[in-house]
Amino acid sequence: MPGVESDRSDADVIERSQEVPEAFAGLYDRHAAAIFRFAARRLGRQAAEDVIAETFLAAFWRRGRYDLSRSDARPWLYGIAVNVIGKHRRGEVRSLRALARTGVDPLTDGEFERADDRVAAGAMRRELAAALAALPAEHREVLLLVAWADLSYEEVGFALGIPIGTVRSRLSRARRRVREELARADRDVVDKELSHERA
Amino acid sequence: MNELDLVRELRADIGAPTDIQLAAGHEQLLAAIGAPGSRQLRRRPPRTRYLGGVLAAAVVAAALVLVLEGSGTSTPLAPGGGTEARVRLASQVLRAAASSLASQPAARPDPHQWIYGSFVARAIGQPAQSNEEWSRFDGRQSAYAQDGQLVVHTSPVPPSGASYPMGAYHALASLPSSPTAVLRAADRTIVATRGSVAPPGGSPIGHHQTRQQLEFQFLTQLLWQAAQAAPARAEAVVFRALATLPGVTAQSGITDAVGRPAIGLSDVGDEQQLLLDPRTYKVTGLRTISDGSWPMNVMARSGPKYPRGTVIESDAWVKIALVSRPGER
Repeated sequence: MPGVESDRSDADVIERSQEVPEAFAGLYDRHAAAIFRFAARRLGRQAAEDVIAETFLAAFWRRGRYDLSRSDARPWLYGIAVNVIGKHRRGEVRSLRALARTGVDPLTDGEFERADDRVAAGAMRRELAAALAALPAEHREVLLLVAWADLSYEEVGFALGIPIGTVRSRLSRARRRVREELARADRDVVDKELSHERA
Repeated sequence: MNELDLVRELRADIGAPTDIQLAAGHEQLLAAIGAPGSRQLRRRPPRTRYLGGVLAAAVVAAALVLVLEGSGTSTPLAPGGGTEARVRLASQVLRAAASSLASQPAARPDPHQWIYGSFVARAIGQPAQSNEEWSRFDGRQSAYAQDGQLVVHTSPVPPSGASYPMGAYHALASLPSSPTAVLRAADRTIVATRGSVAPPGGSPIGHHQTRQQLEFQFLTQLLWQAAQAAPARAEAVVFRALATLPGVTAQSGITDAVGRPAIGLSDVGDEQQLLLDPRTYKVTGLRTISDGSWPMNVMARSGPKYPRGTVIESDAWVKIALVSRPGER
């Protein structure tokens, strides 16, 4: 009865899957698409297919340790996904650096995109990509869980197994670093324009 | 537009997956579900690693994750004697803890009192994580150091439940003063939380765990959450209540995450131990020990397992101190 299943919380689904493992597939139907998109924004769509497969397999085997007091399983699933994504960290940084260097995003290349959008957003995207690539991995993790997975601080803490104070400090450091990188890039643009004027 | 919004827009053009892109993972999951062994999963109590301001409303429910009946029959953890010796030791430790704490004066912090806490979390195969945080007893403010600067955070909403020191303190302090009444209060909360999932005609408490297992988890969870500030007399009553539960074991001669001597309290066969200071009986840590079934690689079910007795995770409060202002240690 799909109607009944959709009323169940994630915790209910996981609890039921202790008795009836097939029930766990319901969790995939609910959350795989969002986690896929999160992974695809970091590693590309092809790698994201592997990430969700591995994430949900690991989640399935670990379901007996799920804290059933947490009705929403997203933080738990993102926590597992982040570990899987972490194995591809070099690829993630490489794609960000490529975007920063060339203005062409290897991950979205081939996606439908209007050329004028690409040009308009180009400079900003490159600076952002450079800033993200330069962040310490654990700071980038917190920033992207907040910005791309829409997790609350508490949920990020749960996902990463860190206290909320650490979430706050990592996020604020990451944001400051990004802000500084963008400001520096702005200064560089102004400097270049000035030197053109002088020339 | 702030930098967080700019990050939100980066690669936002990457859309949802197609059905084909989701199909492979779905198939692999279904294959795993159908695999032998998927039905014999051991259930473990939760590993609540979220401390101080982060425990959220888990005061009751987190203690209540199901463990399959029969898990209590697993063999005792090495080293430190057999189950019988550990049950005897638990009885001694719980009595001594109750007696020591009962004579201590009540020291309820002022709502505006700042509490310093430093915490270390270890997990096998990973670097240790440490954290320092200042929390105000009433939970309205917390602070942390960043690049040598102190950052004070003010909660936009009043904290609730046992997610902050005063809430955890009150959860203990509001317990009745006799051990049997404490157990009845625990049962009421457990039934209120789990009542709707009990099968018709099934046990009024929970159908997977014994009443004693649930009571043990509930009470030790209360102690763990209040590690930053706990009413000593209420702790003493909880220890007396725990002493009436059959099957509680204690392990001595062990150390916590930072190498200090500790006594580990657990339910028989359970891998999770609440760690007590052997002199003061204050809660200092929590750890998880392999019972021999923890896979080294969670993806490879048939691969090597951590030998029984391996410490899988260990968390410790390294220092807790009442301080006059954030930044003081």
